[in-house]
Amino acid sequence: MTMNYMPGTASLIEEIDKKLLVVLRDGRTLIGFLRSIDQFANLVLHKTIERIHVGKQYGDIPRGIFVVRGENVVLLGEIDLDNENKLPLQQVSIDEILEAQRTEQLAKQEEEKAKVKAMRERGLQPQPSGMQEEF
Amino acid sequence: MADTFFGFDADIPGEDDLGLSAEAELEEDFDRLNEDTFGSGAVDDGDWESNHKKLAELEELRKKDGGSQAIPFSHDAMGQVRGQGLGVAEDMERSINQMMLDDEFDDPAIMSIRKGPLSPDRYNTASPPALLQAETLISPGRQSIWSSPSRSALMGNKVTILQRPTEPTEPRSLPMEVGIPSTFQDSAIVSAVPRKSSPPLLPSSARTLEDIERDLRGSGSRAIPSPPLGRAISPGGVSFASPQSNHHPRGGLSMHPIGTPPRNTHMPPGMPMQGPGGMPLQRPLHSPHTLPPGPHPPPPGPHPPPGFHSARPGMSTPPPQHPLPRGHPTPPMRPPFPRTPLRPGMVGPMGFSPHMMRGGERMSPHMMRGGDRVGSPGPGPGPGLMPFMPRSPFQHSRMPPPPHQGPPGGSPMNDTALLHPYHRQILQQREQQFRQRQQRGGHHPGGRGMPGPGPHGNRNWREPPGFHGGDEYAGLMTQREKEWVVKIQMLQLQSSNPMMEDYYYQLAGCQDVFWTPYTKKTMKSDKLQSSNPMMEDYYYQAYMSKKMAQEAERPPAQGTSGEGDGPGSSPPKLITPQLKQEHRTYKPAHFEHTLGRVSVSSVNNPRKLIDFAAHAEEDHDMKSGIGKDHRRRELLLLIEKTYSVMLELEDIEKKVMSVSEEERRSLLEARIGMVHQIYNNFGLTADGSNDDQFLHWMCIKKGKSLVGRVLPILPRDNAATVVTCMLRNLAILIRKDTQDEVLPHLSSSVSHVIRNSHLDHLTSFLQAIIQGNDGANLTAAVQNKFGMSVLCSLLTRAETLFNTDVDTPMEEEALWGDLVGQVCKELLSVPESNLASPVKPPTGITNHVSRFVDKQTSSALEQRLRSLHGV
Repeated sequence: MTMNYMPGTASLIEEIDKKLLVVLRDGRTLIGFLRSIDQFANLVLHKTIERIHVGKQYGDIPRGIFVVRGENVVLLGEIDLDNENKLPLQQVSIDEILEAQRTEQLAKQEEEKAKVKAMRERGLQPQPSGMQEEF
Repeated sequence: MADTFFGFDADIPGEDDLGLSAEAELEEDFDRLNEDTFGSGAVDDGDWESNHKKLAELEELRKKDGGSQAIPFSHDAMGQVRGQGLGVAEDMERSINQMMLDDEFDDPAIMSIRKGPLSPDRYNTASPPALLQAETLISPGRQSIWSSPSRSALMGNKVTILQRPTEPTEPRSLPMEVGIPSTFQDSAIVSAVPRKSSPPLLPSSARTLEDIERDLRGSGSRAIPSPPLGRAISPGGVSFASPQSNHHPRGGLSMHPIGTPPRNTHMPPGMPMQGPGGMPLQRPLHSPHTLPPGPHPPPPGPHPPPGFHSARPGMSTPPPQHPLPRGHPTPPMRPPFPRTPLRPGMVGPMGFSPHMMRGGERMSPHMMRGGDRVGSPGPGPGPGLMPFMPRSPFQHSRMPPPPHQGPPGGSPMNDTALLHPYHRQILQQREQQFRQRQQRGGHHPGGRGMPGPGPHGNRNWREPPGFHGGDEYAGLMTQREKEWVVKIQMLQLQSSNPMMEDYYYQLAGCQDVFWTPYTKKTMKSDKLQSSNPMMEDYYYQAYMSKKMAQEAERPPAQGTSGEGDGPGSSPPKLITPQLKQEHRTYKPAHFEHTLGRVSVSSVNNPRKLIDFAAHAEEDHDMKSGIGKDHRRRELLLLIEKTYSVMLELEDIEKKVMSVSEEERRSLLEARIGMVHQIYNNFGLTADGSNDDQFLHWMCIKKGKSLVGRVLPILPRDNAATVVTCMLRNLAILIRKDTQDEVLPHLSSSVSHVIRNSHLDHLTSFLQAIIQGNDGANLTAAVQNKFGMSVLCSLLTRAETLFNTDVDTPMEEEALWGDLVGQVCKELLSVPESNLASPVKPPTGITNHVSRFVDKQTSSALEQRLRSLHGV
């Protein structure tokens, strides 16, 4: 195979057909088999699941084939298949995890609101947190 | 590619010639457009439409069959295979007869064969003469063809099995060993070529697998016709041809006479390549049954025997979709079927498994390890092999071609010599790691806890462990496609002006190119001394120290482990892969009956950035008429312009090192022109009547540092004019510099000029200081770091001149002495606490001063200077 490209260049090639975890820009976490890539790091994931973590719980939503536009990838890494199932986390059903996620988000919003309010009271202009993007 | 999923039924008709040629024309059009958009190589050969059509048909067929025929291996079949011994041979042979090689079109040998004796029907492939030719081609005498094991090793087998489940096979016909000489293999070629099923005859010289096996074993036993069987039944047979036994494929090749021809076997089009001499031998050596149950030690060197790798694909797992006939000896590792006797890695008896149609992707771990990691890094066909992989026009237009066939030149990344030395080093390290890993893995079969640990326990890193057997979708991306992606990315690294476009990479990784000790020295001597060593040498020094640290860490053996091209041993070449760079003129796409221009961008014509040049002009117009502000802006622009000239000039200096004599001359001429231009931009005249612009210039921080950079490269007279002007207005400059504090940085440049000046210039410098600005200069100078530095270097230089030049005219000496006396007076009159210390401690000043002043003054001065440095 081609080993001769420069380090860093196209090294995604080496991840093909491996099971990868991909974190997207919107925070979603996908796990699937990398089937194809191109020079933009657009990815084709196969047998994809979307994994939602809330605290010590997680849930998987089957997503099938997932085509990811490269710019949306924050990070990706190979899944250690040996230890894949030895997570110190508890798997729950999709519904449960979605519910948990919802409550978590609500809590976060509340917290944010409280923060903004507190800052306003102190005469500070709350800065929009840079981490959040609207999608 | 999709077409690699299935074996093709023989009864799928090939496209008839007429339709195809018409279609081909159209397609070429599309191809051209696509190429425009995606770059060359993108659309090389992917005739996906026809492939897709065929695939769809296939799928239909398979469904109709109810899967019974199509399922390559049922448990049942396996049982039969194992139980029956001889009887199985028939099944096997039948299936093998249906195998077909896929890349014959890549092989010039085949191409040439086809031109001649072949029937016009291109899908009807092999014929006896072809076989014979192929035989001669790969006869021992022509071994050079095989002599690039490392490269071939990197390539997978692309084999397509043509299926003809319904076709009766003659019982007598024996299983043919089918394979492709590794040299001819291009792992990425995975095209499904539908072929018409006219069974070509085997030449009498063709050998069957059985023959070979017999030869190898020295026994006539026909009871173990299928390799897997052989493995299962008599493990003893296992080692006979294994790589460990040092049974070199080639040796075997030449040793064995040509066996009896199997009759009426359907020779796949690839057949010519697996002439009796070459192929069969390579194949059996590596077919699974030849693999010893134990772990495989890695091949001794980076270049394993050619056959070693090439056979590996045989051991990969098959995708279940291949509708193989019952009893096919190749047991696919589908999860539903028990894979009892076979290891996940071991598939076909012949090294032929359906999944091989997918090309290199399905290479077994061994293959990958052997080829990829152990073998030399060259991936595709090596340069030496390129002639063997041309694309014929015929292939292009008529065949449903392999997707993304590489350019005739072979893959761009196959030669490490083209790589950046730094990266070559990394690659070597990587290889070494692979090798080590392989060694380790070899001793621990099943390492990583994979299911079904076999002799190939240490599975290829490319294949997800645990999925090896079940992942039928692996290899969707063929080797060729991967190479294509890599190629595109490498293409992006190519630069016609790397120092400009890729400065930090060049500097960090490729210091050697421009900064070998040699060039460094020449550059230094060129300028006598670097104007600003801190700035100029920063990266170099940082790099060198880093490199030294690295080398100290590395054991010495490793450093030299390359082919003698370790860092430093040879002058590094340029960096990026040498791809053919196409220069195309951009023609905006025009669509008929449309208004305006549609914006189209492609790899070759990326979307243009905003054109800021136009803006600059606009600004220009707007500003005109606004007095002071306008002038300042113009000055800033002028400085910018001068800076770009300066940068260009520095580029030239770098280029000069690496070009031929003639080019160098023209470059140097250009350089002189640029230097002149820069000097003119200062707007100075020798008589000092026009200092204004320069003063303005020197009030701007950027302008000041530019002067510092320019001074060392200016001709001596021009530099003297500039320095004189600076010194004449020293007080103003010092006052304006309180905020920026750039002047001290200029002192090294000014000193450089001073060191190259003669006494007349020194005198005018000193005069400028003393007489300019009504004497305010000298007072300011001694209280300023820059001023003091200049004074000190003036005196030091003068001392040097006085020491060497004996015949200084008396008047000059007297004038100089007078000036020095004034300087001394000033030095002594200024309160000690106000004296600034020069950038560099002065040497020999007092000696010089004592020439002109009385002892008392000189000793007082010495004391002052000493206390200055004590502080």
